[in-house]
Amino acid sequence: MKRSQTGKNQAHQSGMARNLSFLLRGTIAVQVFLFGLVPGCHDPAQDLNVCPPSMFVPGEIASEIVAIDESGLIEPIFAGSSTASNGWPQESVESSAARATSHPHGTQVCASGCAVSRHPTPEFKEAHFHQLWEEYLRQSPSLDSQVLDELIFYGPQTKKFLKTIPGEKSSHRAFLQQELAKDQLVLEIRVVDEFGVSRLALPPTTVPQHVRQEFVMNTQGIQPALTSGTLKRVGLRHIWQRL
Amino acid sequence: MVHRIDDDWKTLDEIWLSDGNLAGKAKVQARVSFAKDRNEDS
Repeated sequence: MKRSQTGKNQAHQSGMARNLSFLLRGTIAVQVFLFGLVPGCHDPAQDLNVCPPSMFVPGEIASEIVAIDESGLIEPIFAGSSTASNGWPQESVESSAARATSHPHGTQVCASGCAVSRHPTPEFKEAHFHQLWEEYLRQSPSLDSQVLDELIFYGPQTKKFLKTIPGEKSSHRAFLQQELAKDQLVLEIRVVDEFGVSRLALPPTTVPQHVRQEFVMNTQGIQPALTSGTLKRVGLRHIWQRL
Repeated sequence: MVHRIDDDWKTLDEIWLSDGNLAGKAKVQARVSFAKDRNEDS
């Protein structure tokens, strides 16, 4: 078949809605992860951090459930309403939006969509925290810096250590706590064809960090597609996503 | 992929769409931000 632009337009306008197969080179299962700050993971060609993300525990009970396995890494855990003693969710957690349903990662690997990769977070050593904290105190609380990015990256582990230091009313502590509390993110996804038509779309949907979500997508002329992913904050102004 | 908070749509991948006769490329794009209202409530 000759693939002229006219033919494409005709097919697009008249026949795309019927028996349309959605062919992907890989998988439409989309993983979203956020990552940064780990040496060796930055791809200068793309200006991206490409390593698997670290995962840490959101919520106030982080200090109780941060667990380090035999490899010395923090497991990707979620402090939902139904977590096992090791911090792993035992069942799906209802998302803030009907379009996104939480599905926990497996105990060793992701439940699906992200192949077999784990998403460990290096342990945030107390000495390292104090080193970063001392550096942070020497700068403006809101200065976008690597020190602040790293404190935010460790999230719940940072929260745990913050409870151990004096200075309840310090501006640095207040700013950092405020930033660490921003654990709700908004995700939008779309698949735009060569005619500029959005064939698959997830409207702005609020999702928690760290938890793999499955998304209900709007479709136009194509069959439903499974989409999933995870989001994670990796700095003051950076969110790592993998779909 | 890492997004900055103020980033607009970023292309994650290119895939193929086909109705069996024609195939054309499509872009998978995403955009992320903070959920301001929900975070302010927390």
